[in-house]
Amino acid sequence: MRLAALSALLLAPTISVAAGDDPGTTAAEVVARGEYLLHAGGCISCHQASEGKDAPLSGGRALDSPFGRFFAPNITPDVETGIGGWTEAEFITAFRHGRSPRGDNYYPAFPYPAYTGISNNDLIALKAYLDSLEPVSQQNKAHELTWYVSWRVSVGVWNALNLEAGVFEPDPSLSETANRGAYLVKHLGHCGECHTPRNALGASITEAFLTGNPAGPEGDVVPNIVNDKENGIGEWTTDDIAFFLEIGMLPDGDFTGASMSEVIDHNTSRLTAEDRIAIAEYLKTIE
Amino acid sequence: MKHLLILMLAFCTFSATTLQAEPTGKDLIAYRKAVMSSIGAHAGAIAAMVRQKVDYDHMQAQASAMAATLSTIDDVFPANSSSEAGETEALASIWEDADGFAKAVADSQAAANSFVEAAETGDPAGIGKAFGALAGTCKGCHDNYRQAK
Repeated sequence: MRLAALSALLLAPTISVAAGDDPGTTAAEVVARGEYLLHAGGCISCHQASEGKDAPLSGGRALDSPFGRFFAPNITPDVETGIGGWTEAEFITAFRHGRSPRGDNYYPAFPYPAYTGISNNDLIALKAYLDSLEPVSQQNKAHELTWYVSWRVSVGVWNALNLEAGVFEPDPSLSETANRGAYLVKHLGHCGECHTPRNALGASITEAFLTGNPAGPEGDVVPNIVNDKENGIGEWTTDDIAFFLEIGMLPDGDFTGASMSEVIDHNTSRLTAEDRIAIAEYLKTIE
Repeated sequence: MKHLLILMLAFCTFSATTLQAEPTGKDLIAYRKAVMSSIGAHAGAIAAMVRQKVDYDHMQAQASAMAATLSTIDDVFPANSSSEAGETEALASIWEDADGFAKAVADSQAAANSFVEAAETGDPAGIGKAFGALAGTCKGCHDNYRQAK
């Protein structure tokens, strides 16, 4: 039995939406694109109220960090408790600068240092999708933080030191595919939030991008994923990486667990095969 | 007399294959690691065919071997094989949440059996889908019951 075309079938995208920056022409296309971006952006893992498949994005998931416990807010379009009253400009500011419509700074548990690079078109589509959801009235839980971070103004200082706000700029030395991968890895997918070590202020160490984090979320050791044969995943082929992102199997036949299994279920398995290849090609360029 | 001697020899040979003493926690862990590695090895072989890295006609053989090995999983997590007994990535949640773990194991075994059926039909789309489902059960169990690495 030759398994012609088997791979292509297994690798068929679950959502067939154009992966570029075209916002789509009809309202329905924009919403569909927004749904794709919700997966590419890894929003579900934190904002979903419970693990059920159709659970609403009304928040509540706890994220433990050395600075305390953060609770993800309600992002359904409920006007009172969710983000239903937001304008497009306010939505974009939240992602680009980490600031709420009231002018407060978010804590970087919301990964705006990565999301800052997402294009306006993508953010508009993401908002259109969120607006299409059923509003859920659910008050946000207050974060439980250590005293020295419980003052939101201090985040302004943190931002001045650590936030490089601005839309992603393609690197002319990389291929178009690798640049698409860079956009997905660095910004939408915010892979560095877990895979890059942090300094004492909790900011990602840029020079150590994706080299692993001994103290990742929930106390997990998060592996090095740069193209290094000794310490990273240099032995993996582009195809191995793409296959891993699709079904969670490592080249030796083992299967991942922990947080990455969730990332695969909610996010990377939902991407197009082209986007998984793009991520893989980009990862191969990081030494 | 000669017959009796043969009989005694036969008995000795037989008893030599039974255990001298109760297995230690370390032995149980080592055995479990061998079992889990062999499951991973079958998954690796199946993936190589699914991804068309090779064109062997071994899908059914590997699927059956995978299912047969997975059917033994119920046995290889006795209570005295936890991290208190030796170095293992098996989390305490396996024994604390015994019902949840039993369900995760049963789901994986069911998915492996469905994969055997898919391999028998030889339909590429069915094989891909069933392997994806099986993969999901491997991840699901590692997610909650194996130490992150």
